Amino acid sequence: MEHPVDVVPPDGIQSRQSNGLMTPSRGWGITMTHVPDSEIRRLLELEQQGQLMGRRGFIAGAMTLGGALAFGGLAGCAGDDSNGSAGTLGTAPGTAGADAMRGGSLRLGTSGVVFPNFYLGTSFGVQLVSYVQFAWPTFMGSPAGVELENALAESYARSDDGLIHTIVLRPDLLFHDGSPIDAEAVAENYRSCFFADHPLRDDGAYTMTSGGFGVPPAVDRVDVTDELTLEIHLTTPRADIRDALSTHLVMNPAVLAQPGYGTDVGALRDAGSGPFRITGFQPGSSVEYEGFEGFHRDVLLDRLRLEEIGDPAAMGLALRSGQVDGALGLSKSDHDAFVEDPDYTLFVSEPAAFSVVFVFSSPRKPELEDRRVREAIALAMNREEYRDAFFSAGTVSPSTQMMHPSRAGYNPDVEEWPYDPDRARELLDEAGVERLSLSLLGRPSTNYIPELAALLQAMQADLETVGIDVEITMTDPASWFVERPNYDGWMTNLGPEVPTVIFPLFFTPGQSMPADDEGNWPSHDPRSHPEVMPLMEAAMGAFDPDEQDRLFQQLTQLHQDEILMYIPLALVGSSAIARSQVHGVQPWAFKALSQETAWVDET
Amino acid sequence: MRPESAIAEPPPTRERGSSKVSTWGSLRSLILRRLAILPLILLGLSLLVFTLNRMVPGDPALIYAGGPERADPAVVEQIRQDWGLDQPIVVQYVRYVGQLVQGDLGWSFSQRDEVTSVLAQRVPATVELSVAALLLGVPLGLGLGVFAAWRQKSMADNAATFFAIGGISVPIFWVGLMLAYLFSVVLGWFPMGGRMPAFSDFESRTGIYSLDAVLQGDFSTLATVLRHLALPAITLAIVPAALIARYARSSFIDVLGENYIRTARAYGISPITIVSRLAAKNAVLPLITVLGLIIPGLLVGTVLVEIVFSWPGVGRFLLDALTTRDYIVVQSVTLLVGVLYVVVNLLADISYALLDPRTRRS
Repeated sequence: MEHPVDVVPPDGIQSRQSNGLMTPSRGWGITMTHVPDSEIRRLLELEQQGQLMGRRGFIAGAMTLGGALAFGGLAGCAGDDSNGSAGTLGTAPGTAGADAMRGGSLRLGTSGVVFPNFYLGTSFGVQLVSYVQFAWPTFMGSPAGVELENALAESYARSDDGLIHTIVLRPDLLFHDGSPIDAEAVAENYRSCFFADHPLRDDGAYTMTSGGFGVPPAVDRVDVTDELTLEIHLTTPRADIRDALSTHLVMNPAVLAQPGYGTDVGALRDAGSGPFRITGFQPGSSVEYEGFEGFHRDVLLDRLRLEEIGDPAAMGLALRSGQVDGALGLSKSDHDAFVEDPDYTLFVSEPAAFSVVFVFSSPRKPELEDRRVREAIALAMNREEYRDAFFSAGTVSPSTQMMHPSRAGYNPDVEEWPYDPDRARELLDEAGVERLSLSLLGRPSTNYIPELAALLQAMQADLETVGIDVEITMTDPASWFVERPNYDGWMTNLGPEVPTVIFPLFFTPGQSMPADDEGNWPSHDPRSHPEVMPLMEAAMGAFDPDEQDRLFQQLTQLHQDEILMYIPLALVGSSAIARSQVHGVQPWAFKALSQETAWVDET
Repeated sequence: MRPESAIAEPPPTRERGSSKVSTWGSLRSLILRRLAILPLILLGLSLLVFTLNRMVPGDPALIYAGGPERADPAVVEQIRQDWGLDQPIVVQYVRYVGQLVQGDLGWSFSQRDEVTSVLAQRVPATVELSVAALLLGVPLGLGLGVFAAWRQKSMADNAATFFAIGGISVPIFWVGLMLAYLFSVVLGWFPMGGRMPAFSDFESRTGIYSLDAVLQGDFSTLATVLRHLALPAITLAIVPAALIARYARSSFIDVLGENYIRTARAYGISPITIVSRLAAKNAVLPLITVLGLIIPGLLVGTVLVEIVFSWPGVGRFLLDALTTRDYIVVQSVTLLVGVLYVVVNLLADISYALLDPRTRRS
């Protein structure tokens, strides 16, 4: 209810006030609708006595001063936030007659690597040859020269019929709880991977097992013949299973029996078998390790930390600010700037780890079924310019094929496609193609293709000069997996995996490219070529490694000469940038030495 | 001296007892009404999110199995069966709702753990960051808004308005990177990532590190925690500060134009007293509503800040779940945010009713 109020201000001017506003009083909830005389008098008295301002001023001043002191104090506590430490003076490992560097802490920043768990059945990807190896080194080296010096196995042999594969462990190996790594412990690990009803098996996908041994795994049993020797009995003959075994971790069976071990730091601390023991783990964010003195090789670092930094720009700032000592996955511009900075060192994996390829996929464009059109596209791409412009300095080299140079199936006679737009136009004319539209699908940049969107745009510009219009669509990785068959092409990177993994990606049914409704493959699909399937079957089943190598090389040459459904662009090495005080960092690769050789000189 | 007759006598007050009963009665009915419709809101929200999730391309089973290059089709199919993804959509939804009713938020395949367990690890970090951002942003925004309202149409008002609009417009991740560059790289005052330094052996009980440090009486650690919190909190505080500044300015301009304020000025009451004692109680009321929208938004809007500053909170977790098509996590977190919006807005309305009797009467 409103009440008109006559209020006479001190100067005698009379005014009327009628409003529906709640007017304040000493407390909330008073329903008066005018300025209470008592309130005004009270406030006037307090002001005249200086109490109000004094108290208020004091409070405001105290808050301001307190805030300033707090900010300054926090900023001033700018002590060494790194918790890093120096190593003992010495010289770099490997120097003849020199003592190795001991001690030190290393913090590495990375992106998209730290997994949310360490369960044995988890489908690790690149993590397997990176930080997972800190605690669980790859069990054994693989053939074709990619030796793993910290592998747990000492020797490998197979029976003549290829059904029994014998592995001998190094002696005196220890899990991180001090228990011995013997044949029975390794056998239990493998049994949990091979047999779905094994009590130590978790609910993971066990992709490394299905990929290496099939579904169901072609394994009959795993026997232990003595303390250090185990035999894997297969149901199907295999020439060599070292590559398949190299993707299997060896965890402490006592830990495998503990529920929830994959995220429990207390359990993980005892689970490892490698040079570093897990001491801290925030799923998806960071992993911390300490050097394990019981490892069979020298470990130089005291402590090691891997930290997930999701943004490349933030990664660069983290390195500059000293939050991390080294970084993997920098943006190209940051990477190149750090390479030029004498305060930082570039580490590149040798050999280069990944092949970047452009893949044709569409069954919808009749023009693409003509090999001349695909060759024209290959000739129109200026790959050298792409490598210079869109890949980090010092990490990239030309690529001629999808197989890694260290692997069987790599054909040294295959040459890189030249950049020849004139010849590209001729081929398009011969094929009767006046104008062609292509749709390409891209995804966010990866460590190995750091400027993917820009790379696709450069390709778009090059192809337009020869009369090919390109439409680019960018999407997230999960959608990319599903959507790519609906586009004419995409970029991808392939790891240095064995040919029995790589070749089926492109040459056998069920991978990547669907047939039409009648089950016919488009003519540019390798499966339609009369020689491909016989060669594939022979190569996949070859018992002799040399024969297998020869057959896969033949397939590579056949692809180059007649099929051409992918175009190799670059061979990219994993790289890391670190402070100049950091030495011996090993970027991820199949030659990962798990940072055993890394050390930090803080002198 | 003012004539006594010029000061009107206050109108007779109503019986306090009946007023109190009426107040609490209306509040109770407000609460009950809101709680009654909450399940309907959540049901609609769950249906919407569930449907949208399934419409987005991407196969979580394929991703879980390692992607198309690594996954065996038989393994992928087995995973789909194990997770019930081979069932009709309606069956999947009914099963999900049934779990929710029992308080089960589901199992995250990307984390290989219960959603509640994963959230329990992540929520404290986000809560700590959000509270810090509010403690910085609300006073700043309020102060700016009041200052701009009092100095309306002056240079100071323009400056405050510029800050407010800029704060809303500028990309928050850019602000974060700039602050990190200035305070971490150039000045070296604050660390730019994580909640604690590397290799810290600090053990947290509540997950809120600042609270744990206080409870343990470890003020050195508290300083470290606050230093790590500073930059992300300042970055996150900018948007709430800007929003509150705009609303506060507008609200205070309205109230400061009222007759009773003019009267108080005429009596010679100081501006600070007018603002803090007379105007604030009316002008702040609309801001309660704004806070009711800001607070829930902070909890999931932290994703960009969490990425820039490597803060292990709910935002990053939700982003990871989206990219791996972890449907259950996306659905469950969305529902929790929905609950949060409803609860926070209910609290805002209750606060409003307690503070403004006109609301209770209506």
